Formats: sequence, structure tokens, C-alpha cells
Amino acid sequence: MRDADPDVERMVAFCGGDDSAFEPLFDRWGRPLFHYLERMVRDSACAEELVQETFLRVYCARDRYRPEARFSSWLYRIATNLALNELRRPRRSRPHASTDQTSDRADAALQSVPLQLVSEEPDALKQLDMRRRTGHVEQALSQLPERQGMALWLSAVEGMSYAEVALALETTEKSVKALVHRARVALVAKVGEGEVKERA
Amino acid sequence: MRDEDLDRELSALLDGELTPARARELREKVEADPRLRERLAAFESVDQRLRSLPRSPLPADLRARLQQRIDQLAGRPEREPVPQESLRSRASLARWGAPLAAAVAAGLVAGWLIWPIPVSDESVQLLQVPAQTRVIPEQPSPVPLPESDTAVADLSDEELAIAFELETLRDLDLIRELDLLEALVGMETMEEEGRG
Repeated sequence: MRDADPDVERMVAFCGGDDSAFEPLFDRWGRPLFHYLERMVRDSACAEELVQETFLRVYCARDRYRPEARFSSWLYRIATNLALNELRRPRRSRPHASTDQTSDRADAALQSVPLQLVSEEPDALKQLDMRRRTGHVEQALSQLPERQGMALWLSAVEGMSYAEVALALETTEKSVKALVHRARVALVAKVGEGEVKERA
Repeated sequence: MRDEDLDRELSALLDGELTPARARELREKVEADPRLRERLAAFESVDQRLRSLPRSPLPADLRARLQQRIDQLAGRPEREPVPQESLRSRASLARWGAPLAAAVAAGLVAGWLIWPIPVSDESVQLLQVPAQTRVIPEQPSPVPLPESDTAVADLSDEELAIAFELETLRDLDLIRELDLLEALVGMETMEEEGRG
């Protein structure tokens, strides 16, 4: 455990009866956790529920918390388990709202805006290009196996080390290294395919 | 090293998971090989796009909802958000309520002073026999009035109260205070007469 983790100190204080230490934990981690869960379950409302559930579990764990790792690893471990449970529920087979909405918005923008008008505005063209690119990567991310997507997100976006990701996903560092790499390779291939299709 | 392993090393390089020596060695290879350079650039591009994905804001009421659930868990009374309308009503009540209450209280006091409250016989009896507060014991016959001050001084407070048919011993204290006042006034008068 790294002693310097201020969130571990906050959690220890909270466990010691300092209720005010809980709020900064939510302030610090609520938003990134929401984005992580939103990408994983691809449903904003569901992600909100899972954020609440994760912090409720943190709250309830105050009597048995052991500061053995970074707080974020422990927090994401709880969140990941909840997300995986959610993804395994039968009703999850339906299309995912947020990704579809984003893709729909991007598609609508692509189809509805005449290219010659956009070309007169360099900023608008850049924005459209950015939307197109993010649309592709978002779609590709949603097609990855769950754990690959999670590992890549935690490492590349959240900046966690392989050791921290391993704790969050309850696996080994070696597995994380493989998961992250496979996810990257798959994303490069899928995004490339999408761009080739678009050009054609 | 196989291509697949090298590819994996590129990924680890991006994530900062290689030792400084291994990272330096790999960077030198990348600079010398356009294929590796392209591969590393493709990985970097994907990471960059992931980081720039649009992110929804955290719902503003999420904290409140979490707090509500924590309160439920802890068995604390829920802190419901107070609507603005209700806040305005409370402010208005606070502004006008105190003077209004004072006016009503003053009216009640005035009414009580002006109009005698009709009291039934039953309630009079109840008022006359406050079992817990009545201090003076019942006596079959009144004690004869003392004939001298010495005799009065020998009587107990209770006997005196009965002798003067007082309701409570507090009245006796009052009489004593009046006696004291009279005595003081008498002394002052005597002093003035002496000076004169």
C-alpha cells in the first residue's frame, strides 16, 4: 500500500467515525467512476444507480475496510463487480441507450449537414471529424469483451498502473498486460475498418 | 523477440510499465523501424480518442440521492429537499408569525382580565381542594386567636396559618413581610420625631 494515498487516509478517518471524510471521496471519485460505468454498461441511468450502489458499499464497509491498496483500486473493484453483474443480467441483451444515442447523434450529424456548407467553416469541419472519430472508437469500445474494455479504460484513460488495474479486476498484472494489449489491437483494427468503410 | 511480443511491449511502453532501461532500448528500435513507429502511433491515437470521448456530467442530484439512501440505511430521518415555495412560506411565517402570536396572547390576557370566566360549582370544589398543594391540615375547629405577641411567637407556622385562616404558608410570609415593613416605617417615624 502506498501511504501517500490521501483517499486511503480519508477512508481510514471515515472508518474511525469521521463522517465528514466520506464526502470528499465522493467528490473525487464520483465523476470518473460514473464515466467508467457509463462506458461499461452503456446506459447512463444504470451507471448512476451503480455509482450510488458502489458508494453505498463503501459506506457499509467502514467496519471491515483494510487499507491494503490504493483506495481507487478498491473502489473500482467494487464498481467493476457490480457492472459485470449488471451486464450478465438477461435484460442486458437489448441495445445500449447511451452508445446508440451518441452514435445516432453522430450519424444524424453526418447525414443531415451538407458537406459543402460544413466545408465553409473549418471549425465545424474539425468538430465533425472529431465526432466521426470518437463515434468510431466508442462503437469499437462497446464491441470489445467486457474485461478488455475495462482494463484498457482503467489503464489508458484513468491512468492506473497494471498492478492497480489487476486489483480492480481481481486478476494478475500479467493478465492485465495481455488484456490491455488485446484491447488496443482490437480497437486499432475496428477503428481502422470503420474509417475505411466511411471512405468507401 | 517475436512480432507479437514486440507489439505487446509497445503497449506496455505507452502505459509506462517498462523498466527505464527496457523503455530506452525499445524507443531506439522504434526510431529505427518505420513499421514499429506506425504501430506505436496507432496505439497512441486510439488512447487519445478514448480520452477525448464525450463525457456526460455527473447528475446534480446524485449526491442527494446517495445521501438519502445512506440515511435510510443508517435509520436516520430522510432529508428531503425543501421546495422553494415552501421555503418562501416559511420565511413569510417567520416574518409575520411572531408579532401575530404576541397580539393573540395580549388579546387573551386582556379578555381574561375584562370578562370573568364562568366557573361551575364542580370546578370550584376542585380548585378549593388541591390535594397535592394544600399545606394546611384540616382542623375540626379554629384555633383561638393568640392574646399576646409572646403567645404568637410560640405558635408554629401551621398553627398561625390556621389561626388566621390562611390558605397557604406563603400568605403567612407575606404577612410577616408586611409586619417587618410596618416596623421599619415605625422606626423611621420614631427617628424623625427624635430629631425633631
